[in-house]
Amino acid sequence: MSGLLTVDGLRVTYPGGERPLHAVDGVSLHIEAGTTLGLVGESGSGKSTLGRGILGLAPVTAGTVRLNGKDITHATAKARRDLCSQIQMVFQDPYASLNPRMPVGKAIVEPMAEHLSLSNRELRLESGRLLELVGLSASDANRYPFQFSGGQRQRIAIARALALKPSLIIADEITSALDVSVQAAILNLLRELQRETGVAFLFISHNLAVVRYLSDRIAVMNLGKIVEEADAGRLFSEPRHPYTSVLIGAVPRVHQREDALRPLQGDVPDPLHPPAGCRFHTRCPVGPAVRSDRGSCAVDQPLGESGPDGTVACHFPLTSSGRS
Amino acid sequence: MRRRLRGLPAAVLSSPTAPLALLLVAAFVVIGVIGPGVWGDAAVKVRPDLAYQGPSARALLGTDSLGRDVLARTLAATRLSLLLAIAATCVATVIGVPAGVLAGLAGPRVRRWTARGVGLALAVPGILVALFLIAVTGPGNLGMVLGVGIGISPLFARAAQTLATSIAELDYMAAAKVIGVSRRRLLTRYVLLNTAEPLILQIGVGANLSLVAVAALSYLGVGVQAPDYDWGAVLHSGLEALYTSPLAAITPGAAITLAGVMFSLLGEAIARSLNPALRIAAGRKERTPRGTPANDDAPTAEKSVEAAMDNAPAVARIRGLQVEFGHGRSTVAAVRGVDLDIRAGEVLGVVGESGSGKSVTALALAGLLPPSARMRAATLEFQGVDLATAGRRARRAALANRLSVVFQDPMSSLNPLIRIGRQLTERVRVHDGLDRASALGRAEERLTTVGLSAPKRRLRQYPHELSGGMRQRAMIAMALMSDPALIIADEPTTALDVTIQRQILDVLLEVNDRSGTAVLFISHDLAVVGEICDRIVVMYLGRIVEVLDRAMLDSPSHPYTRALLGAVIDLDTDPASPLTTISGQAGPSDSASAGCPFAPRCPEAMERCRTEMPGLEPEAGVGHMVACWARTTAPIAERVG
Amino acid sequence: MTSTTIDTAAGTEADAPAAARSGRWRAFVLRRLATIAGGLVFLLVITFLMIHLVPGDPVRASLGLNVSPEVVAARRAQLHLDRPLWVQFWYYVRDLAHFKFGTSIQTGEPVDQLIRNRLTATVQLAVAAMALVLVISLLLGMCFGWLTAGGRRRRTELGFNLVSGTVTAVPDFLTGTLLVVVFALGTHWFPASGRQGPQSMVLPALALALPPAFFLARVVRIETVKVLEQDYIRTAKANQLPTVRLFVRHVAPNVLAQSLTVAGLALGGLVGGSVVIENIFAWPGIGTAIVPAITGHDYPVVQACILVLGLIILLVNALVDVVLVALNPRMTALKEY
Repeated sequence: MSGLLTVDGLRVTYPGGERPLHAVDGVSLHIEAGTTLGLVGESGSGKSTLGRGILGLAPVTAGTVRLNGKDITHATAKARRDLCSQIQMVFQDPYASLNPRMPVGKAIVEPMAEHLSLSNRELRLESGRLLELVGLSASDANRYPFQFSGGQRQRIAIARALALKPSLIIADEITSALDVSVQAAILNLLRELQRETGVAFLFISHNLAVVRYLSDRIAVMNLGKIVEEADAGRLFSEPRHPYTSVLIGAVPRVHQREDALRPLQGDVPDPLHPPAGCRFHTRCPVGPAVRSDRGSCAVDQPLGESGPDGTVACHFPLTSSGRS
Repeated sequence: MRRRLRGLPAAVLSSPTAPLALLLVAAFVVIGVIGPGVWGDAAVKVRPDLAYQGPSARALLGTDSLGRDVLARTLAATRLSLLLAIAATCVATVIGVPAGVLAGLAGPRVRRWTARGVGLALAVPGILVALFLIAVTGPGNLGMVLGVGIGISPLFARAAQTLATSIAELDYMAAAKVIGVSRRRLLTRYVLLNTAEPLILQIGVGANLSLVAVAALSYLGVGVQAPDYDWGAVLHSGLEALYTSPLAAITPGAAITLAGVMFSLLGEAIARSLNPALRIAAGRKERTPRGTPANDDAPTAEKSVEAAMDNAPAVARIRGLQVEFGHGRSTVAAVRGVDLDIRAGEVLGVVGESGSGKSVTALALAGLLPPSARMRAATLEFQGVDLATAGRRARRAALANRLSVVFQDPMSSLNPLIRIGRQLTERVRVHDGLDRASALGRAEERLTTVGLSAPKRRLRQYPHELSGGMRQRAMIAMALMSDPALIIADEPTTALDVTIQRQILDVLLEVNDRSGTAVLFISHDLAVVGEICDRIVVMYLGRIVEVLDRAMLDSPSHPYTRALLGAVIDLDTDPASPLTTISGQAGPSDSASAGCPFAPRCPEAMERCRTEMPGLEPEAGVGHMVACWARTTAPIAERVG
Repeated sequence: MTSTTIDTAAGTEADAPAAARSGRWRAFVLRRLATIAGGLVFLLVITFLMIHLVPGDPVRASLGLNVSPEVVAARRAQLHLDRPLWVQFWYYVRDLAHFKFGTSIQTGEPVDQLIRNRLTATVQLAVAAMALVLVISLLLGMCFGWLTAGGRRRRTELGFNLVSGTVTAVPDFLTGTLLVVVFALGTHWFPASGRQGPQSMVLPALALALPPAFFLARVVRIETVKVLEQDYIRTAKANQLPTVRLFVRHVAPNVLAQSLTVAGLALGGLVGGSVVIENIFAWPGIGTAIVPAITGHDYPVVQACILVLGLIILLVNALVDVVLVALNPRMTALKEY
């Protein structure tokens, strides 16, 4: 299996005062060229850290990241600069991710200016082309970030990510700071761009509905681990992991339905002190807190079981009828 | 580059103090250049017979103990004084800024240690460091300049360090790394460019401090040594004449003060010129058009509103509410004539995008508008008390007992320095005169109601010891303390995870169900509102465009509501088809026009929509109202069908 | 309707900080002590090295040029200057521990006697000035913060900034001079110099306090405006608390917690300013002793003065930190220092 991006056993550790925090703890995933992998989880699940770890923006302490078969886990700063043409990132806060002191036209072609030897005229043409590609006007190039709205800034950030025609873009919560109508436009834009340029996305979001809309495959993260990974359609129609099922049940719907699932109890545990065994067992609606015969969940860590239709890390996965 | 130069003078001049700064700089430069040549001779001419004289034609500001002309001495001393201050500032900059920047961008361990070192150095007054160095080198200019420079450098180091650290954590630095920006460019185009403004400000202040320190040291007699003299030395001889001729001491003192002000103002002006936002604002003639408060349509067809409301008693009645922010040209109208009834015991949802005025409407009712807001309302009634006309005491009494608010961010809405128990009980103890024990008892009971475990212990905890979901429960418990008739919940779940959102929504519904408390639920999320609200109000740019029952959410009338609904993504959205979007974006100019504010973006807009504001009119269906010409002017048959 | 959910899972998590509180206090005290110790060592080393940093022979410089080499050698031996550096440092520290600062080169008097006489005067002046700084800055800053919150009363804000900016910009020695001219020479209310009776302290304390007080008042005003914009203040307002209570219970502690770091620096700076002010008002403190000692190359006196002033600053900062941590249950300040 040689896809575009392969992450194997990745661990990201932040050294801390009391004890080190494994924000990402042994995660493996796989993205094929031209497809979208959605990554969902609650806050503190480590989904954003995973995205940053892939790019070397977070301290990776174990595991490997391979891009087109090449190990880039601990690429040097110089090697990373060459990677920029293949893998890019768009950040959550459109107000913080653009240099406030740089006109946007310049910011967009900055990667080109760094990596390709283009004349100023060519750069100007390119910035105009990219701005128009994301639905802005070429005449916006001389304006500064503060002169744009949040949605427009996110378009600019996307244009910048596209400048070097990368094969993968990591999109970290890029619509969560935006209004719904703006979010819809950005999501449409991402789809169009994928169709036109064949770029792959790692789409990180806490919003299941958005992830479902955009992704071919989806990975669900809880406390630094991936609990389930499957085709988007299958994940939503037949979730195997109780956590996935609970998350789906918690999503509000415009047209209300009979809610079959009990809401999740309690808070997300402190990532510094994750529960032993299955990290979801303290909150699991079918776990040891509810069913006394499932004490093993609190002791043994479930390993990811790969099946023909995805991976699930649960001792008692739900069956298609919703029982386990 | 050319753009910058064009904008720079405009920006420098846009600062209210800039002309003064430029004037001072020009004056000091001229005096500094010609000073020693023009007044040098008069300044050193000793005339013991004229000692301790007051102002006269010969010496405009009097003489000192040796009969020297004080004004001439002060003017002639300008060059040396300024040069010494500038030299000391340079020393401080050269030592402090690089040290600070490197410390700020270093690894966490180095950063922590340097921060500690800089913090310690910062505590030592510059003048002590200078005295120490002068003790080593002996009195004179070298020791003084070095000493003052080193003494002030921690100030620059701290500033540079905190700035660099704060920038290092920003997304655009990470973005630059992902783009592959080279290290050098990262330092110049990102770090330096974005820290230059506050740093230059700091250097201006530092130059002022240097000037004063140099003068102080010379005054003490350990700085500039005779026969040279700077302002401090002039001050020294002036103080000897203080009893007979105070001007001899005040003149050099005033010169020091003015030069200090010049340094600070100059730093400020240069810093301003580096800020593109200020630069562009200065270069631009016209600003955002002034939003005109929509006076004409304030009492929008009150009759029809009343007619459409059924007979359920209202907890709150709002008529003709208008709220504006800002002053003069930058005035923004946030709410432009809202009529709204909140019925007893209902869950009323208010949806809209940012800038729709949904939160401002609720805050106006709760009397929580920020001081910069100006509010007008024909009626603003809560439980029969008109808050718009009632006195402060009556208003406070009406709101205190029956209206509560739950805010969006539970992390910041509780006072970090006060225990949960005291925050919860404060209101009932102040307003209902409950004693501490029974208030705490009630708080414990309310915490149990909202499902917080171990309520007794929670009361003794500080907010930071609770997680976000727990804090939001505590906020709701606080809201419940006085058995309110209405809870305003302003985006109470936006900052929370979906699983926690579900819990909080359940708690709110439970409260509504059990005690009949009305809930005004404000949200940008149509899915959440559709799930828990009985009635839904849709707002756009400060106006209500549609009011409808939950059952009617499948088929709303207003084009904006329909567009909003189309843009919502939930688990029923078809991944295969593109999402509905609203073309263009809402701007203040839309709301200033005479017509429907949504007309510029509306696919169904007619000529009339652009010129005339539609009123909120009843539609078919109970309590359904819509403000849209395309709806209200259509034939009745079509409307019913 | 669903039954109310109980968050049992979070219970254990929430206990952890409460249990760790005492541990963190201990960690804080230890770290604070370590910082003081570090500062102390730094002070000792730097004052000790001072003599060795002086170019040329300090003994000869202080005794004058026309002294016989024997006298110089004897003096060197008396000061242990003929021993290795670390031995000298050991003697230096040992002597200090016994409150022996050596003898003044100029007068031959024991330096500890001089310090003892002058320390009281300096501490008296500094404490009075610090009290003034805190009272003036907190009162003015919070009042004007309240008045100008949320962009109201732009003119009041401008006026306050203008006045406080001017007072801050005027150096303390000019403030001192002006005070003398007006209140000593003009009205004869207070003496112009010396240390006789409490009224003699009024002018120097004011001169010392006014610039930092107004500087701090600006900081306090800005912090007050910021605190008033916080969500928790909106919560308190939603609870319809009376203004006074809102201010005393919710605004003031948070403003204090935010401004204290700067206040510590301002108070430390005030110790430096006291050197100048003491000289203007002929106040018989450390500051009036250090200047003639520097010009006269009287190194033992300079050493002792710098050591004492440095100690006062260390103490002030430690005190400020303790108050800061006592105010703030989160003790976020801990990570910084």
